[in-house]
Parts: sequence; structure tokens; C-alpha cells
Amino acid sequence: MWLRELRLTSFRNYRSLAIGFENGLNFLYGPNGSGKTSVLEAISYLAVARSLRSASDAEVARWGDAGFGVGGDVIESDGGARTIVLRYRRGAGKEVSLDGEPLARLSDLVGHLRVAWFCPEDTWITKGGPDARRRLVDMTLCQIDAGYLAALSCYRRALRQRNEALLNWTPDEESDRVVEAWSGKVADYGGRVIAGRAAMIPRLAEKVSRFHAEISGGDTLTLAYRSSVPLGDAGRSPGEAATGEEEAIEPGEARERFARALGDGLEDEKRRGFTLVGPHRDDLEVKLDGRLLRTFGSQGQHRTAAIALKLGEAAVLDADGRGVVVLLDDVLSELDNERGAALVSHMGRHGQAFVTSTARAARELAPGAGEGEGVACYHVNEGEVVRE
Amino acid sequence: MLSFPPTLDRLIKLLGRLPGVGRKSATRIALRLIQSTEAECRELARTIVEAREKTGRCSICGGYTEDDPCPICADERRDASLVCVVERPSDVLALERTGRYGGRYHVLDGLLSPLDGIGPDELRIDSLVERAGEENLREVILALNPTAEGEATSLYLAKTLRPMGVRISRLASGLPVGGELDLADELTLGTALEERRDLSA
Ligand SMILES: [Zn+2]
Repeated sequence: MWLRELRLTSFRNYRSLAIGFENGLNFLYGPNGSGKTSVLEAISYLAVARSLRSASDAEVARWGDAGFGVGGDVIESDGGARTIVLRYRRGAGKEVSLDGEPLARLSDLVGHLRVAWFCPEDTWITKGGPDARRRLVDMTLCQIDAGYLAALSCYRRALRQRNEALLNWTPDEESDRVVEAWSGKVADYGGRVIAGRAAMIPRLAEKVSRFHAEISGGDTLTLAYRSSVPLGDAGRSPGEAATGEEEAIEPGEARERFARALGDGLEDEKRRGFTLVGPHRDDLEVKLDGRLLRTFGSQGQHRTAAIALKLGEAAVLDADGRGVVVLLDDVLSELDNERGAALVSHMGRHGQAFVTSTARAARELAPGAGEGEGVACYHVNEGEVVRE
Repeated sequence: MLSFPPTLDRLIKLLGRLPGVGRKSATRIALRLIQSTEAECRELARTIVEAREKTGRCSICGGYTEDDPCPICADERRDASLVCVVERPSDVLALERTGRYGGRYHVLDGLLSPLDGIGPDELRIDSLVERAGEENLREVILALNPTAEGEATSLYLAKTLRPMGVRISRLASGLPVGGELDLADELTLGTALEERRDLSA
């Protein structure tokens, strides 16, 4: 799939914009704050109905305007065209339509346009806390599995409710029953989330290891799902090879194990007033040649690992061959030319890519980067995008 | 810029505050109203005030009614041993529209939501427990929305009612996740009611 045209109204600093793209590499260059990232952000709205910069919808609407609109024409791999339109109005929320038909739920949008987003902060994904790694896992799963997306948003809601119930807990039967009811729902949704992660991570690990070996010239990068819920046989012991089958766990089984862990920690949770175990505390463990990368890696090793992770993410998103739109936001400035070129050339294999940079010279990283077919260069400045 | 005369403009603004009525619909309704007869307008205005005054809540089930108890609770032909628990009074109307339910109702007036400060005491749960004891209920059907809050409330009620020896069931899934009961079509809702699942175990 690829995005043929993007239309914006009152979006960030764009009052009104309509722009066509190439099914290949699209370079956007211009000074900082000119609106390059906003174009990528708009594309993320068409994919997942929200900002991948984790901005609120209200922030995205142009200052003083009542809302914003994003529209796009997506060309499917079979040549069919679909038009996605997302509208946001302050106070009224978002609505999405597909080919003019309103969608009942925002989650119904999932899968029509898939994106893999890579920004400068991601180059530290293997160094920092588990949040960024969980976000990578979730963004990947949400785009290929609408059921996972529904379970994850219900899980977050139920978890906040349970934490509030724990905070208000008093030693009486009624209070116990309220906490117990929320534990039941947290375990239901959480079991589905755990099972989804356990099934996807081995697939991601396999692809990431392959890309990493290719870029680094032989170092072995391994990934493993580290759930805060004891999954028993489902969790792999250190040093054991990932085969995929071993780590799979049924949602029902994951639910039982999670419910048991919630029960075991309940007394402690009542004292502390929040939930101590669950998918919100999971991690994606990254090891280089058997050692925990987070604790010893050099800047170069972290960057290579980050690139391999992002390439793996794009490959998982594109596993069914329908394509994925790659959004590389100002990452080339963070990478040396060799890593940057490897990233752009690998990402380019999935079809369409958008690359932003402050320097026009970044375009030279594209293989055979002439003015030929499939490569387009855009100058972005002050809410205007001009194709060269 | 062309604008409406002030009073008509005020009418459009008032209509536009109603749920589901946007600026365009409000304008259309207002233009239609000022073209109808004075008698028609007076009747509409009077009925709005009367409906507001006369509609109260049933002291047994909590549903909307003009008489207490409501016609459903007073109807001898309905199965008094069967009670269907719903979130809001409007859910009673949705289930009645299916034409496939012959028992009575109990309106909770909300769902458990610690984040909104809603615990069991804020809901009509005590009166449900009383009814389960006094009315010799055979079955309680939990017909709450399939949201996190609706499902947690169902779990809470099942746990609370279980020791009373009453059979507890819930609507079959088939309603969209996160959906709303009163927006479900009659067929889906009717089927969910008939294929309800036992929660007593
Ligand atoms: Zn009644």
C-alpha cells in the first residue's frame, strides 16, 4: 500500500494543503519547525487515528481553529484505491470515514494504511526504560490485529479503574468485591494482551536478528519477551533458542496465570494502592552476544540495534506483503552515512518511505538517487510544501 | 453577513443544544416550527413541560413512569421471578422494543467506576439485593453494556447475588465490544437475551 495524495486542513501550521507523493522515496527537507514532522504526523492519523508524536488532538488543530481534517488516497497492492478522511472538532471528538462511509469505531480504520515511524528518540530505544520498547511492540500489534488494539485499550481503562479501587480500598467485604471485580476484567483483557505479545515477539526477534547480523557484520542480537507475569514454560529461559512455538500461550492460559499473579500480590497492592504486575510492566529484553545491551552497549551498538529493531518492525508489519509506509523523521542526522544508507535502502524495500531532514543532501543516501522515478524531493517552509 | 432575526436565532441555538441535533438540523426544525400553526406550537411547548413534570421513576424498578409502580411492575401477566438489570431507564425501552422479554427490570442508575467516584453505594444495588431476597427471584439477567465498566459491574453483581441462591445470567456476546445497549438493533438484542449465559457457577 502507498499514499498517493495527502490533504490537510487546519493541521498544525498548515491552513490548507494538498500534495501528491511517489510510490518510492519521498524526501522532505526544510528548517526545524517548518512542518516536516507534521506531514508524517498527519500520515500517522490516517493509519492509527492518532498522533505518533503522542500529541493530543487539540494540540494538533491549528491555533484558533475549531478542529482539523486529514484526508488521503491510499493505493492498495492490488491497485485498488481507498479514500480515508479523519475529522476532529474541539469538544466533539474524531470521526473517520472510508470511501465516504463513516466508520462506527476508530479501530475499524486499522489495517488500511500501516506505518512504521522512526524518530531521533528511537535511536535510544535499547538504552532507556521499557516504555519505549513496549510502545514498539504495541504499535506493531495494534496495526496488524484489531482485536489486540481493542484489548489493549480496554486493559488500560480497566487498569486505571483497578488502581483507583485499590487506592480507595478499605478493609470491608464490599471494597474487596469491587477490587475483585476489576481484577477479573484486568485479567481478561490483560490475558489477551500477553498472548498477543507472546505470539508476535518471536516473529519480530527472528527478523531483527537477521537485519542486525547483516548491518553489523555478524554480532548476534536476540530479543525475548519478559513479562512481569510468570508465564512458566511460556517464558524462555536464558540462553535457550527462540523457536516461536515454545513461547506461544493461549489467551485463556495467559488470563489464568495473570489472575493468579494478581491474587498473589493482592495484599501488597492494597497497601501500596496500585497494580504491581501485568502487561503494563512487561519488557522486551535485548541482548547483544548474550549480554544485556541496555547495561553495556556503546552509542554505535545502540544505534545499530535500534535500526535493526525498526527494520524488524517494518518487516512484521509487511509480513502479508501488503506493504508498509515508512516514516523516518530526522533520524539521518543521528546516524553516520553508512548506517543511514543501510536504513534507507532496507526500508525502501517495503514500498513507500518518507524521509525528513534539515539538509537536502540527505537525498543522496537513496540508492541511485537521481531525479528518476520513485524519488521525489520536497522543500518544506512556513506551512508550504513545494515539490522540486 | 446574512443572519436570522434574533428570536428565530435564539430558537435555533436552543434546539442545537439537544443531543444529536447539529446546527443544520436545528435550523431545519426551527424553520419548520415557525411555519406551523400557533395551536401546534402551543401543544408542543405544553407537552414538553408536561412530560418533564409527569415523568417520574418507579419505586420498584427505577424505570420511567407516570404511575407508581410502573405499568411493567404492575402487570400481573409478567413473570415476577425474572429480573433484568440495566444501566439506565432508556435501556428498559430498548429491551421492551425487542418484544421478547416477559420479566421485570431493575435500573442501576450507572456502572461501577472508581475513577468517577462511583462505588456500589452510588448505584441501586442494595434495592436489587432486597428484591432478590423478598421477591423470591428465580433468575437475574445482567444486561449491561459490554464495556470495561459494564463487565466489572456484572462481575460484582454476580459475586454479590450468588450466595442468595438465585440463578444469574448475562446477555450473550454478540453485542459489539464497547457498544451501547440502546443503540443495538432489536434482532441483535433479542438474540443476546435469548442466548444468555449462566454466570451462577
Ligand atoms: Zn417498575
